Amino acid sequence: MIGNKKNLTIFFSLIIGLSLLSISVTALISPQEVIKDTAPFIGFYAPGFSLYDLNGISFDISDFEGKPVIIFFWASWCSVCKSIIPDLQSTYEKYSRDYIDIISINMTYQDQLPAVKAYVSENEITFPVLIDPTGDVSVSYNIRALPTAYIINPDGIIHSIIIGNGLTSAYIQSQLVLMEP
Amino acid sequence: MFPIINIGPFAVAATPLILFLGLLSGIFLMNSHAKKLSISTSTIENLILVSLIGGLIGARFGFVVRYWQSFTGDMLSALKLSATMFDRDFGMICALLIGLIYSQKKEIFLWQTLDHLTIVLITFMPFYYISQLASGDAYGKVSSLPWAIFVWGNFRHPIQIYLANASGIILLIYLLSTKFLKRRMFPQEGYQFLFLVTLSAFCSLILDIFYEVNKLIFKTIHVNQFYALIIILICFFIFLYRTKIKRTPKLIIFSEGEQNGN
Repeated sequence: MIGNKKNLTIFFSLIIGLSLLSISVTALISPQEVIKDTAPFIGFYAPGFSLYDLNGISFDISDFEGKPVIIFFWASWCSVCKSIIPDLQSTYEKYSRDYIDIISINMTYQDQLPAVKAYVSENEITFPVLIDPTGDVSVSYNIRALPTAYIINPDGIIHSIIIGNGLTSAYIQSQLVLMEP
Repeated sequence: MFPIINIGPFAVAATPLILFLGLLSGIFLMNSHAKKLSISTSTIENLILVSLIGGLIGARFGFVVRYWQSFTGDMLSALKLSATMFDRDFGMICALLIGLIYSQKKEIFLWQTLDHLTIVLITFMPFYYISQLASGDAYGKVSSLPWAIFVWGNFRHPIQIYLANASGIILLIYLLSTKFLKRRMFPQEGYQFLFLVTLSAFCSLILDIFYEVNKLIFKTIHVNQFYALIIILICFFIFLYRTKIKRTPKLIIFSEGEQNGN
């Protein structure tokens, strides 16, 4: 019966032996750490894009290399997005010069451009508001719910992803600390 | 991946929902087993609840303490309903400590409790790995096998499915060896915990080879495999310790004749 001590001792010995063998084999066949691809996931390089803002100025993700950047996906009908934006605006005003960039991407293919412009104007938003009229960038970032924010480190690698209302000023500051070299 | 499940007008975060279902299933199975063995588990259920709440509060507290400078301008923001402001490691330590303190206060037997909690754990684990499939965590190495899944730009080993299947097999082993919850797996207390934890750690160690991203220890050993081996060795040494039997002197009974020297 497996419950007796002798059998259990054999069981443990076998498990330990096989574990050591497995560790050795794994170390031999895959010793190096992985080269990361581009994907909308933590640890991967952020997917590239080039979009226009509300004034027709073109922005490319590569323009923000060298500094952490938050990419914030939102829509004017999204109440949770609108609850976060004031905090995001004040963070932008305090920290954008030296510490972190913030760009927002409006999912214009699921929104109304006049409503977006009105909202931006009424709330005096000064961080870049880019429009995604075809949804291609939203798809490449795997956006399934709003708001979704990606925090990207200075090397262009996705550091964290926040879905919902977690993008507080305190959280952003904590991530800046974590991203320090 | 499927981080959000849309149910009519509602958008539900998939990962916490699946984890919650896993926990409920584990508690249900534990209660079913205990009922058939006429064991009360209300204290253990309270232990789980107290540890969970303590762990959540501890995780938030740990996050605030760790990044205290972020909260000096607005202390009330520490109480915001946010799914991100949690320190997982500190939360787990708090959950364990609070669980230990509660166990001592209620004078809960350690090994019997661990045996019951193991049932919750092995039922929870398949759900945990499925939740990783939903969130896109734990992606596998690039593969051209027919069952590879398309994740993050490449066809990869479905490592979450491998692990969920392995956990499911461990659960099946448990159900079969207890004849579907009609008896104990081992007569000795604590052996169930040691056996199932060792088996789970072993499966995780073996399947680690299919993970894409791995941190390394000593520049060659996968860190997950290293931790799994540590868990296996700890279980083995605890098992050896518990099998030590203190030898008592044999009582020799003389007959009347022998006593008188005949």
